[in-house]
Amino acid sequence: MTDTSVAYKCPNCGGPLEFKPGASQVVCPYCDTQLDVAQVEALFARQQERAAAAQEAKEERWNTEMAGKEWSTEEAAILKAFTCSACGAEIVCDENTLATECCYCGNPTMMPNRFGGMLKPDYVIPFQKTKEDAVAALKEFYKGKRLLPGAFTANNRVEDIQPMYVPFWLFDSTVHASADFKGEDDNVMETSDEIITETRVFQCIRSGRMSFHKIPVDGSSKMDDTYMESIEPFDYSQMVPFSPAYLTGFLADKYDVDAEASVPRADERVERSAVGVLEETVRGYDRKTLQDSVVRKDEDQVAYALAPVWILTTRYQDKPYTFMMNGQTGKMVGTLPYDNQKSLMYMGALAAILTPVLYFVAKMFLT
Amino acid sequence: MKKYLRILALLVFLVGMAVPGSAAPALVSDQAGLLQPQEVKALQQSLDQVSQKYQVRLAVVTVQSTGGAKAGQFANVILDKIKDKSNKGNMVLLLSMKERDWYLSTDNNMRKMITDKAGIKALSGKFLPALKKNNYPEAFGQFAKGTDGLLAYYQKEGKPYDPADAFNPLALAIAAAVSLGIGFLVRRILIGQMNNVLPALEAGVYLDRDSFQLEEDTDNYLYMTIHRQPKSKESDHSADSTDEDHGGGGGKF
Repeated sequence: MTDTSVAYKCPNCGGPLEFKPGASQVVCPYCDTQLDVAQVEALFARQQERAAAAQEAKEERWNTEMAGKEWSTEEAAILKAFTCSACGAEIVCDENTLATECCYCGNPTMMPNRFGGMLKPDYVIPFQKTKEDAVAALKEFYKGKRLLPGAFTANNRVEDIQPMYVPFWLFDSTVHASADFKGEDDNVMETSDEIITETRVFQCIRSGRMSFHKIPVDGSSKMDDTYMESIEPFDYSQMVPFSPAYLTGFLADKYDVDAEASVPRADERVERSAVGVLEETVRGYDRKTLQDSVVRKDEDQVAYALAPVWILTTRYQDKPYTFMMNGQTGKMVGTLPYDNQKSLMYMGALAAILTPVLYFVAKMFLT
Repeated sequence: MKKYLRILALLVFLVGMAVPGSAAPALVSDQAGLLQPQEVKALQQSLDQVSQKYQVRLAVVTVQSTGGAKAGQFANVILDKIKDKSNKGNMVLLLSMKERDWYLSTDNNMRKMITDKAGIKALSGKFLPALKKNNYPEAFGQFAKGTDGLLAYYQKEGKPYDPADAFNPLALAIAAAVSLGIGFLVRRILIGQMNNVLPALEAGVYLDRDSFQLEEDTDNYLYMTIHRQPKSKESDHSADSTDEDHGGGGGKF
């Protein structure tokens, strides 16, 4: 992204530009590209503006104070939180639960008799998928996986299935994005002796405003971020204001990564997408390359929500395999084991089939 | 004028040598003086043996110069004068010493047995190394031997020799390597299918498309670069004098 300072570099090769005294043009001493002074001014005026804006953007902060509210005494009364004595995960359950097992390590744990110290979520996305749906989705996930070891499916037994509300921060933001792209347009001509390619290079300046709604970033350090991003997206039309009632019968985890710490991940995604939107407006060129960009938040808001996730654990050759399913949409993600022997067999069989065909092709080129 | 006089003189000589009929002997005309008399005799015998064995007529002609004429056209004229239509094929090997040109001219019958591309390439591959070393008796001997081999192949297989038909270990090695590479790639793809846990790098699905307002949309021309790429030269066909009645090929030595 944008530097907070500007260096006058050749737009063709990146070398430092030099203004030769007495000359009317600025010349790159490395590639001899000549630029009019007016062009250079236009080119770098933009970058200077952006550098200033980048500095401002760097100093901006998300307004995270408003995310989440304190639990009321009544609500806290029907909820229980405990810490797993084996792995330290913090889990929320309803008042009727006397014992459960940790969804992270499977350790049977008795309920401690206290609750507190967590913010009340703003929203909850209720579970739509049942345990049976999760098992069926896992079986469906196995289908078509040619390298799946036979023993994995034959002896497979899901060791553990846990429904869990995972804490997410939902970021709303309206941003102002500005970017410079290099657009290149080729014109190819042929003479009897050579092919001549004329490339016209343009500076494409784009800026615009856009809004993003509820970009989720998981607030639990115990949940793998990549897994949580893989089960996206959630359908927010089914999201409702939080009520402890939704947690009954499910596990729930309190956030342990606060909104402030989750901001960089949300910003990264917003910046990438905002620049992508601007890039879509650069049309009519054979090639376009991002040169410089800055994304500044004009408005932002953060909400705290619980999202439903089914966690399925199975074991193969003494190694645990964890799968996660979006408890609302049913999207299943995970990493399956593969049979190395099978994979080598596929490789060998394909090579054996292709070799005779490619032999004739190679011979044709060699003779 | 000088050019045509040379060709005329050679043709007068060759017409005298031309013997119509199926038993026409091979022809050796060493006007450039590259061979000793006994070498001429030995070459004549070698060519005769091949000629009689396959009912063809072969000729080796050396000249000091083609007098500016293309070696191929020169050789075609010679072929037309000495060819025996009752034979199964006729072929002339011409050497022009001043230009260091060689040319093999074949009639349409011989062309079926020794093709313009693969056949001529294979045959010239036999005698060119010796020719480049100025070892003419050896080069002509290789020409006779090579012709024998190609005609024997045709007689046995019923089709002209084509190296594309022969086993090529290099092609096999390349094919095996590429196949293994593709196999490895497919294996990686299949292994990749076992995992769908991927980070989300963008937030496109959370973008409110209707909220997008493009505020600046400016394109400034900066400069132009010109890249010149020389065209790859096709192989030199200037030595090619093939037409509907003549086959063959040639080059420099």
